[in-house]
Amino acid sequence: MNASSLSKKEITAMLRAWGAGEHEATEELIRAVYRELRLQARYQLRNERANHTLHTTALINEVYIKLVDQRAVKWENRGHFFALAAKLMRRILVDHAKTRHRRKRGGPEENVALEDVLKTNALAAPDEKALDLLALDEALERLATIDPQQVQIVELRYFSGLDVPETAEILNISTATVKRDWAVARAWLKHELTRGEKA
Amino acid sequence: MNEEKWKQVKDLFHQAQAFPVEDRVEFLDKACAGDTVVREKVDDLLGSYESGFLADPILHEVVEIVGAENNFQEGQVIGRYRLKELIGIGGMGEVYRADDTELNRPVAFKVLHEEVAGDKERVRRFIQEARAASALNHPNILTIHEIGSFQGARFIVSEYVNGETLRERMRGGLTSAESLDIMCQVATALQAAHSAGIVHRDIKPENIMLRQDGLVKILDFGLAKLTEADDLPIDPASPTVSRLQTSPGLIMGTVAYMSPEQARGQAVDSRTDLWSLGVVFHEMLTGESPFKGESVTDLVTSIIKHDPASLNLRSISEELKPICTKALAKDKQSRYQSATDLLQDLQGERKKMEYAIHTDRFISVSSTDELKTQLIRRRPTLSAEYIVTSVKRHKLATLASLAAVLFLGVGLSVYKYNGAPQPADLNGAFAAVIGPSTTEADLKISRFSSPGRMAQIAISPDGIYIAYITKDGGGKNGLRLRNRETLSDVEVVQAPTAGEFEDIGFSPDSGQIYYRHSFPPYTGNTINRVPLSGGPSTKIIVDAETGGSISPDGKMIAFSREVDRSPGSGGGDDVIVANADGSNERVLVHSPFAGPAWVATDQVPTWSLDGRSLVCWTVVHSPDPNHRLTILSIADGSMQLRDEKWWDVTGSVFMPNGSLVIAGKPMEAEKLGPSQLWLIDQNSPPKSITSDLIGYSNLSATRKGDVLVTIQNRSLIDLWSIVGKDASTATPITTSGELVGGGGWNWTPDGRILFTSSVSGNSDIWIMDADGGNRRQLTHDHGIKRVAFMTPDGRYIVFTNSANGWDPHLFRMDADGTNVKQLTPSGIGTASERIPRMSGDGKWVYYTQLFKEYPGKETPPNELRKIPIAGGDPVVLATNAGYVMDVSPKDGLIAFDDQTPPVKQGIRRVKVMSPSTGSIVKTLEFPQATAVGQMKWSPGGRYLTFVDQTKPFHVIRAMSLNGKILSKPLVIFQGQIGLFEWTKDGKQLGYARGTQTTDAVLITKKDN
Repeated sequence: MNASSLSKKEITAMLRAWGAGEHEATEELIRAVYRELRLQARYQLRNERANHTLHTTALINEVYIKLVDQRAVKWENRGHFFALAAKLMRRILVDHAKTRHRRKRGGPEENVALEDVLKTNALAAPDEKALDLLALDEALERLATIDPQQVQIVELRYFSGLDVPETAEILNISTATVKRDWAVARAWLKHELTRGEKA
Repeated sequence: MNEEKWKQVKDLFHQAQAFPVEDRVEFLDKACAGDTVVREKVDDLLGSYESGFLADPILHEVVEIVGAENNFQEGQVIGRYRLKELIGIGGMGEVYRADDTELNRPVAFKVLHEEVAGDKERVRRFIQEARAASALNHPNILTIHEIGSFQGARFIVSEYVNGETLRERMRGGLTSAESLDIMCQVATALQAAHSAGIVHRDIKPENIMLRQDGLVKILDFGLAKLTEADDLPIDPASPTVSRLQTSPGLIMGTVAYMSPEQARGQAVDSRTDLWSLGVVFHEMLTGESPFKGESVTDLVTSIIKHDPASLNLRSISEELKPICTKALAKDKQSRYQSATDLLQDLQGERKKMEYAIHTDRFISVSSTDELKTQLIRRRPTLSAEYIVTSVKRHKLATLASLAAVLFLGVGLSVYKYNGAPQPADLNGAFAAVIGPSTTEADLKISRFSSPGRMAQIAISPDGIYIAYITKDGGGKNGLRLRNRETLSDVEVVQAPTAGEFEDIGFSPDSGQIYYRHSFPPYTGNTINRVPLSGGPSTKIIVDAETGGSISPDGKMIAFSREVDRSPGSGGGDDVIVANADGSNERVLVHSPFAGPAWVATDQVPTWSLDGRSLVCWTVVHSPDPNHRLTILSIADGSMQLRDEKWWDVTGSVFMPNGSLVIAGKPMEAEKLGPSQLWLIDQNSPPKSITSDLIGYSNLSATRKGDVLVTIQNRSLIDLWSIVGKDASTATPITTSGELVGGGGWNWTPDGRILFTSSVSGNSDIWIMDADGGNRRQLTHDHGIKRVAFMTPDGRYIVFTNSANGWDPHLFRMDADGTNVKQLTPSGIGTASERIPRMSGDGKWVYYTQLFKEYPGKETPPNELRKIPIAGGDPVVLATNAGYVMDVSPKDGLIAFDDQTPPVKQGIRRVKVMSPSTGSIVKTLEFPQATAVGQMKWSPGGRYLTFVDQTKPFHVIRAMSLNGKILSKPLVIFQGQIGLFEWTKDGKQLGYARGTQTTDAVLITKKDN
């Protein structure tokens, strides 16, 4: 069974378009990546749970090789692909956190109007991790308006688990820049996430 | 913070980190030099920095989530469902395309995340609501088949919608007319749901699906119930209280469609859906959301406080703006109060717009202008087969005897390809999109851009390029080229000053595009060539009746030409080959018009894979003009014809294994359906690939055959009614464009409406109230059906059904759809699908019998017959009947089209028969311009009414039995109309009307 209903050629073309500034990656492309990612994830869970090491780059690389026509592809498409995969990771985690969060926060006393929630940022948190992710996601949205490259770095490093040299390669920037921006981004995000507490 | 400052902050942060903590203040005091904004930000960052924050990647969580989130995967069988392909992912869960193995139909199988589905009370409420919405049986609401669980996981099985979400469609851009049509359909669905007390709460483009044929389906009614944290006791009497449960992490997509009251966490009612639909409308019209914000907070603020973004785009018609504005009123009281109000405004605009679009042809009928065009250019028109027939007959009638060379082949029906396919081709066959075992469900159809307005398209053999011509700009359009890899899109040839471009094709090396330029008076049409790499185009051939196609080796071009057009001159059509640059023309075959057959110039000749022959289409006059697939040898011009008869062929392309995919409509009977895709293999009968209600034309494919490109012609037909004869009272009864073939409907004796709808995905018979409410589907089989009428006693419904698609017979069933009984005998031929009628005494059904063969006649005439409604043998009333008839409500007189030779040009002869004696009491002559239309007795039985289509806007006129046409028209419409029927009391007139859209689509194989 082929992992995707899109041909490698189509996926490659879509990636290129997306990399070239097309606003949104098409749903179809994301689906194709998701599907392959899921296959790989299942494979890893079955085979590597014992030693609990996940070769993260290997995972995404595996997906990449399965989906993209290597011969017809220019080098930068690989970057586009990893950037897309990182976005997908973020989306999966946030969606997941969201549904989990929604369900766990039931009950009349917690029926806070969105406006109030937003005003105070006072999030009674029955599930710390989920909330962090949701707040982090929004903070990233804000960061994107200031420094989109930093968001990419966070996505690649945090959501996709790439190391500094890999991230530098994907984004075609120096490792020094990655290191610096990574530090700034984390400080900025941390500040955003704790701003409400301090105020 | 601007870019420069931000850079400064970053640099200082970085530099300060190099200092020991205690020295940083001093460094920053100096470095910031009093810039407090920068200083504050740097301090914030330094204070917040923790080396451990986000240091551990959470990819492993992703793996845990996606790897283990449910127990489902492609290929798995759950009960009666086999999961085939993952088609959607999201916060709620995954969606698969699946097969219902019991009912043998495709379904959508939606899995709910454990987290979503865990709460029993919530699930119970969701199920209740989803079922209630589904039970409305509304054409625009997704039907849910089953809600079940499997190993602890919840799933929802619903009808499978072959199409795309509105979100996907919006990426291609929407016209105002298209947006309006979608809005109308969604509003209709909301109207039904709201009046049943069901609020959707989550209207957004992702929840609106657009089926291939244009039908809109709203998904996920009730699903919002699952994610609301509404744990308050439910009081069924109170309006639904929805407490918004959210957090800053809510994705923007969901927030964008929230109403102000939703965002405030206040009570939500049906008006919330109207707001959300307003947002959708704004987005369809402008391509952008009316409210913006960089964060959820900003977005919510904007929704609550700010005015929507302005609609100041020239492309948006002024009239649509107030609708959008009213739907987006912050205060619920100032908004549209009901979906009905909104729908009314939308319908009003839609009506105006339809009249305004002159370039859109109205279907069901064609004007005389078009007929003239047909005569000159002989291009068959969709859904107007009788025009095509009359055109071809005309041509036959004006020209005299037969070419021997053509007759040699007829009846031989040997059909084989010269030479075996090359090994490379065989390998390619596995990639081919259509093969011997392909069915419709295996095909993946994705739309090319320019919704609804595509004129011509072709894909390059290497699959990289698509050349196309749109209909935008009133038919004067240039040739455009899209690179499928880089998505670059350029105009390679500017629009012609006169005439138009058509018949696009690529050279085998994908280096050149060939196209035809046709222009009045259509005698000097040229075939031109333009290199893909740019540069001027060159005239290759002058005076071509079709476009040209290039031989597989790239050396030759084939096309056809009409020679000496003057009637009686012995002119005819030539199929010609020449060098690819146009030099050295050689006539392969000359087929004089003066014969019972000629090589059709409807279609560009197609080269066989080995380049030794051409596939053409021969029009054979007997028994009725029909197209035959013809193999024409390049070496000696000899021809071989296949047996199958086709009404119409609208495209053909070879697959790499040598089989031929064609778009065509088989002849065997008077089938109403449009051209479908068929696979023709060496010696087997044509195999049907698609059997939908969309017409296909303009086929091309890649060399590997893995991508097929075609144009889909969709007819959107609705039922309207007017009060009395006043066309200004026109009101739509249906709004989904769902009527099959523009006709097949009738009033019931108690004033309801029987109609043939495509809503189920097949043509089925439905019944509804006169206002369009209370719909019920009466048939469920796969045959192609067409409603005739309900008997006056209300007991039976008479209809035609064609189980195999081209062999219709007359049936009756009880008024509730049970006890189906075939009335007309099988074997001798078929019953005409066009409006059988009940006799005045309620005992007989009059119908037209078509024959496969008729003793002593080469061209079988039709017979007007009657058959007892109770069942029994038919009785012949007249021979040489046409298709159209009607029975007088006053005295039971039968008026019918008479085709007894000789048929006078430009005149339509109608006979009036007494049912008791069988004698003809009158013979009337109508002008030919009415022939395509219909004929109905006026409600009082004094006149025969007919559609006069000599004007762009249709008019119903009346002829008295003394043969005089009343000078004053009965009804003047603002557009063109299809099948019309008066109510028994004559107080209302119902009629079909619609538009035709053409979309280019790419067809590829689905992976299973």
